[in-house]
Amino acid sequence: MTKDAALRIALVGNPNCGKTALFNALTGSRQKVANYAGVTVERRTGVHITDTGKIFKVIDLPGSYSLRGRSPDEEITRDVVLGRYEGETPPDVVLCVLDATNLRAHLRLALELKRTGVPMLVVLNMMDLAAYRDIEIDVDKLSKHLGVPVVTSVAVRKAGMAGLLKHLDENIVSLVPPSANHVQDWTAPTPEDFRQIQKEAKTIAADVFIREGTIHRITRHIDNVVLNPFIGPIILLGILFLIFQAVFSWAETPMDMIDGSIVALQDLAINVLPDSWIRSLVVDGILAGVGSVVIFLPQIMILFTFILLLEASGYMARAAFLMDKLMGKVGLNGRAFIPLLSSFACAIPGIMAARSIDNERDRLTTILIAPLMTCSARLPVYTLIIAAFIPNDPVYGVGQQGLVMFGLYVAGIVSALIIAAVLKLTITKGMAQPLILELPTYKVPIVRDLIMGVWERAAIFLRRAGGIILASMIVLWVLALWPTAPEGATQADIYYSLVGLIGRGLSYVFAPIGFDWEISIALVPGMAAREVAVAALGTVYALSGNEDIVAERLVDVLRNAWTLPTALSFLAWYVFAPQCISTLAATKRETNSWRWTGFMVVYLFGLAYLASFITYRVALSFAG
Amino acid sequence: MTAETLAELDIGDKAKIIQITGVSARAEDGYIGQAELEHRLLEAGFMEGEIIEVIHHGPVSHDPMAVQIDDMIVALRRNEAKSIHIEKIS
Repeated sequence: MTKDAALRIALVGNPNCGKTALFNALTGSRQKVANYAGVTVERRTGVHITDTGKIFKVIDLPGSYSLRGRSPDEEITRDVVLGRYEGETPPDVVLCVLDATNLRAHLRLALELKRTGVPMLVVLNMMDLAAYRDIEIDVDKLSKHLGVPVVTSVAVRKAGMAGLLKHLDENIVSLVPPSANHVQDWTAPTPEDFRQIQKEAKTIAADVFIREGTIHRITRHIDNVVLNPFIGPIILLGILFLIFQAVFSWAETPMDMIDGSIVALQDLAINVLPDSWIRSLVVDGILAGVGSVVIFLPQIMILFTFILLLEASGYMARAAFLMDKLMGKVGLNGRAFIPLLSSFACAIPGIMAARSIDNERDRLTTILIAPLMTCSARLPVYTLIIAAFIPNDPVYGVGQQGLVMFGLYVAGIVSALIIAAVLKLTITKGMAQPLILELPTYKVPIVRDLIMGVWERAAIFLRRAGGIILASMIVLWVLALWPTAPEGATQADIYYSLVGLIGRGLSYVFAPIGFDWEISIALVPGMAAREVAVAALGTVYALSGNEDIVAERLVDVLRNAWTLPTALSFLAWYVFAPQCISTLAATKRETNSWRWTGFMVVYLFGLAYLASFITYRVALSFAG
Repeated sequence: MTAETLAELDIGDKAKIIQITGVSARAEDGYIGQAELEHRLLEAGFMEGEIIEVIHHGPVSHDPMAVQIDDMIVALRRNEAKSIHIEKIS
């Protein structure tokens, strides 16, 4: 290997070993997140440049307890390390990251790696926390036992990285064997092999510990409160409430600002551009499309700040512990509740967050019910209909409008639980899986890792949702304008367009649930994103101007055009209908299956139709 | 006397692991096999001869439970704890 060809370094370690912090410290902002082909495991790569200018390619492999590969994540780690992963050049050196405060357990992975014969450097991380707990390790002895170099590090502090950086700069190249194929025949360890490895880890640990230190007392103290059978659930509820509060009220100001800027831009375009198709494309196509995506960014960033905080601190595992029994009753895993919680902001981050569920079936169930959580894109639709049709007279001191809104939330949650239970009895039958979960010691989250994490999530959301929503908005805009209305037309232009044609066709299907052709037409562009239905209704009723004006005037228009049963039926429709192309795209990507995506579309539209039908008929019988 | 398993222990109980069988109470379709459960428990740090202590349990019917093994805390359900045979110390 020549001196300046980029050396490939792979980071391997147990979950919770501080690998991500180490990766961030090594690569800084020079990193990239993508997916491994065909699976939903994230592929993190970056570039590290040493003090003397050597360039290394660093790849952060998913955290693994062993090389056995019992989840898609662990399989990737195993295959890349062993050089078996197609499309990924085998790493030249493996950096095995061990948590110094949990050496005995983490040594097992190091021993497994050693048996594969890959060139390896062991990084003893979290030395600061070890010192705090009075743990002292003889690094030279450890190196002799393992037969590989061992370097200490504190990934969260710049000074703590000096030793590792120097080693990478000066010595790492010498570790690389001349021929690339270093892995001999590798077979997965049997339980007996594993017992052997465990024994060896214990023997080594017994020899290298100068002082064993104490257990993490703070963790025990916090857990005594947080996992207390009575106080624990109350604390969890409190945290959930805080997250909810934050997502909805803290995000309000930035969302208003984004909304305001989009409206201002629309006004500007209306004033500057002559009335033509270009103006319409800019105002109704591009600006409305961009706005409908960017508006969710504040909520998503706040949500992920909390999720990453809970994960980095170690609380997330406790939440799963507390929720496990309840979630188990409807066939879900304790880990499912965070994705479901996220879905109240937007189903897309929720579906993405389901990756943390290691069991394939539980993950699928969680993804399938995530769109039933009332996401914030439904709020403009709910708000419009409620404002137009529900009087705000208080019932027992509570506003009726608020009650209806609350009822819509509850309807979503209750149906999600029922669906999960039904899936458990049918499609995902008998797939109960054990819960064996490490409760990591509590740690103070690192601000840098938090910011990088939130930024990464936001970028993924913009890329995934942005492209699709924007593209479908523009396609629908074209379909709504073309063909143009004939001379002497009596209806709004959209009536004669392709969208109008589809909508009018659909109105026969929708007649039994009380939707006329105007609503049916509005549902077509409403497929792009739920809140687009508001603007679409505005178009159908031939209202013009910026979004705010349209929404305001719509209240009066709808009051005259719709009956109460139709309005209620429309609300019921929006509880269930998957009127969001990006959710479907996210589902396809995360399940990697058209079949499950199709199943989701069919069951949600089916439920929507059924719910609207019942609502409409019941309301009619009361009104009649 | 062999019948005692981790599943029967309460908060504060300490025990020595005698044998990990991987045989749990539940053996329905789709549930992981005996060898797989044995393997996963070993990976989590359970091992013959280890001293463990039950330190927390869940809010509903004391399930799941959290166990201290060495420096690690591992949570598991009582169903899986049945496959860990122990000898109570205190």
